[in-house]
Amino acid sequence: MTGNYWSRKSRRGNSRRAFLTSATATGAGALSLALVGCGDDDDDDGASTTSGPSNGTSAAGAPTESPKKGGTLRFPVTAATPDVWDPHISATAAAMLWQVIGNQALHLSADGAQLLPELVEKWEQPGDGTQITLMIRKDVKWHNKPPSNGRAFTAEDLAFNINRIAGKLNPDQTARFQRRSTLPNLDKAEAIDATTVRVSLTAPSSSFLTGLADFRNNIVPKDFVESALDDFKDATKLVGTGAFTIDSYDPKGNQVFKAVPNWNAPRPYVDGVEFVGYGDRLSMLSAFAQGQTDMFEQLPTNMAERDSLKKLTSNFREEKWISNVWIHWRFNTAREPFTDPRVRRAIFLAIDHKAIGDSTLGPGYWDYSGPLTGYKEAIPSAEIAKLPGWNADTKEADRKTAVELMTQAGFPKGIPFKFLVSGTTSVPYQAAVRAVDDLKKVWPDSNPQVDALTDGVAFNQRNVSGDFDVISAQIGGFPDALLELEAHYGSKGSRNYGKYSNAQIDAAVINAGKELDAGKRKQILLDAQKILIDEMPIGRYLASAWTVFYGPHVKGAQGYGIVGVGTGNYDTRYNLQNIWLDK
Amino acid sequence: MTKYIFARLLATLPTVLLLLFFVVVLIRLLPGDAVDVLLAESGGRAETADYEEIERSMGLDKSIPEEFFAYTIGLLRGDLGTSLWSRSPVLDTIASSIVVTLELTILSLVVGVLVGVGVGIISAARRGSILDYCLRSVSVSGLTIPNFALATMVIVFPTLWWSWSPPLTYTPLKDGLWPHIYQFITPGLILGFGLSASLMRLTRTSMLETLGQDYIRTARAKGLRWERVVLRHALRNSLIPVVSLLGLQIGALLSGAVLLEQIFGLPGMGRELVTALNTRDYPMIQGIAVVSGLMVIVVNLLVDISYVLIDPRVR
Repeated sequence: MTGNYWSRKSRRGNSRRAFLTSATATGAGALSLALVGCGDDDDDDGASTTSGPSNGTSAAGAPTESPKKGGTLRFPVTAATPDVWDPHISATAAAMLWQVIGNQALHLSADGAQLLPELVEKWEQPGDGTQITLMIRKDVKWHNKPPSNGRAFTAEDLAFNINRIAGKLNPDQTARFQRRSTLPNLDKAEAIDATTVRVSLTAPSSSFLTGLADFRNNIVPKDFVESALDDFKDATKLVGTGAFTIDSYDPKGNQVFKAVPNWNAPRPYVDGVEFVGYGDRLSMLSAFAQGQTDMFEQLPTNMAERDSLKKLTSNFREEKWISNVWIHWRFNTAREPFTDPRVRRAIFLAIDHKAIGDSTLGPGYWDYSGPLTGYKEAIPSAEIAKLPGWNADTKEADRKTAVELMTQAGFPKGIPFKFLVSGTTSVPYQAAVRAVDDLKKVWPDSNPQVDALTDGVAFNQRNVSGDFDVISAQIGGFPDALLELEAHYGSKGSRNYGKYSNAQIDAAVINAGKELDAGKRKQILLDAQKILIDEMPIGRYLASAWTVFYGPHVKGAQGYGIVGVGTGNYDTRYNLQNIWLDK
Repeated sequence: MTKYIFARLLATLPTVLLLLFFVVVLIRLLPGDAVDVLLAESGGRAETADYEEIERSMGLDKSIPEEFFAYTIGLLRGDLGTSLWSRSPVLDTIASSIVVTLELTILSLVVGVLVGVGVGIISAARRGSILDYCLRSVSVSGLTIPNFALATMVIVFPTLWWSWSPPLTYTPLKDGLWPHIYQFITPGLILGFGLSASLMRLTRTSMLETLGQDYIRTARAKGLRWERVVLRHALRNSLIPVVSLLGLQIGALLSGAVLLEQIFGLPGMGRELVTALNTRDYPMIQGIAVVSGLMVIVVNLLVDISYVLIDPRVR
């Protein structure tokens, strides 16, 4: 059994440029509270722990077991937040729902390294790379709900979606289309026949197809949008092409999904999925411990919550893998003295990042991250771990260097500044508190502080407006290394909150965008990362694990989460295709 | 009596206007608005023209005085506006969620009054006894343990010991009367416990003061039974401060309900408020704040009226 979606028998992948061949794809909330001191203190509690996508099905039950059909997978969610169910406008809550009922044009393999077919079966980006041809599957139908009423998925639908995601169809409200940056350089997409879409780009883009595979870029029926049917207000009216259709939606409670009868791909093993709404993480944890739900996710992983669960029950199987949610210090490079790279590097060198990872996420639940996290073009974490600033073994030497750099910058006694964080229980908060201690050890008179905002919206506003010295935060990565590089380090990057500007990085963004040769593109991105390590506009230091706890009866899960929260989870709906319940 | 009620009603008008003013103005002083929330995922940045266009489309382009005026006029027509996110009328959301909040607060009110006043009377009647000390100690714990901490313990420890917990998801009435009521018992007891503690202490103090009055001694000297003296003569005259406190505690109960609804998964106004605050859904925040404020005002009006019933001299 593999994690295949349209067919469990085989999977086919594709490089960005080459026409599809038959390449085989790889199968690939704060509860320390009352539990401290409760229950059995023995950590060897019988719960099994496995790691990562690489473990395949081994941890999910013996491969020789025959999957059983039936049952409903009950998944806890923090109770419904009213949202816009339009996946092209909405924040992540809609993506969560569309992961169950919908499909993307393409998706990425679990390691993010390979494009895999979904609604688009084949693709090519020939010549200078300004034209992309997408060929859709011919056997896909929309759910049997108005206005699509079970009609076939067409090239018109796909072209419409690509244009819409990029905001081309609503030029007066482009900003509302949040994933437009995932489709760089789009001029237009048009259906040239019933099954083929031609995408025209204003300039070559090596990241367009990967961006299209972003897990939030779900495909909606053209007639649904054009008929303005309910304007995406009523979740039960949504029409997708996925293996499940939404049966009921209670904004105050649960969302129930049923398997689509006579679906045009192998039917999932489970008859349905239920998102069970809880008020908070504590309630979710308690419900899972009592067997009221089948699984429980953590992204990023949370050591206190994990330990609490182990106190409450040992009747679960744990899986974890390193995600591309990265934790970092973001320097405001437009504000003195952080305009000086020596100051930024000095601060980064003075902090013990290993100690932060071990004390906040727990040993084994994090890995080192450089300027780009987890991509095949990223500097591998094993290499990053040896570099000054990251390497715990050279920390004393790093701190001497830090003092020298800060002295050269004109601040022999260090600098007073504030870490801006959201919340007082999050990992970035705990990290900032530890960093303050580290900095005081090196510069006792420097008086660094933590400025904790309890409200995420207030934090975002300060972040976006650039009203900070240094931010301590965590964030999920884009599906593509170049999109990530441009967003965070490009002069006009959508997430360049620290206002970093470097002509070499901007040139690298342009050159890597034009470069369709994977090897040359990787070299450009590697060179850019070396510059960023020296410049240190963002001190990325670790990537968090994604942890999932399954009830002992949940089998077939491939080591990926269910809900498309954040990124690093590109196989969500494929997991739903493979899970079965041994009850 | 009618004149008294009319005077009290008139006196609430400035309070209501002040409430409206604060609700409309203060919310807009919070950093960040719904456009920031909407744009957060794409990095939070937009060209100024785009930003303003989204503001216009969401109805966020009015000045604060314009908004205050429009909101007040709308309120007079019974229109609380439309949610920025769900785009459904705020009144509809409140109408469905207020029932849950009322169920919780009424249950906790009943628990609080029965336990608080009852224990207060016993404690006063048995002044200086071991029972009195024990009851006072328990009431101190009710005052000092926060609702959320108690709720956490009530969920965690039974899960740990018996793999059981109180209901954590909502069961609507249509799914059965008992399961529906059952889910309110634990949060109702927790919320009522805090209320009962303060009521108990005030009832005790007030009763002790009354029991020291000459007319109580006279009643006893006339040979009335102690229970009758306490319940018929002392209690009624001790109630005015207790009822006043009850009126003041309604606001605290509603605040407590926000936390407990969140923890126990009850879809009341408190949970709607938290969601609305996190998404800067101004119309929803305003609607819930106004309705909650009006509830407090109405209850205090009723308390004022009840003074007349308890002690006709007040009139």
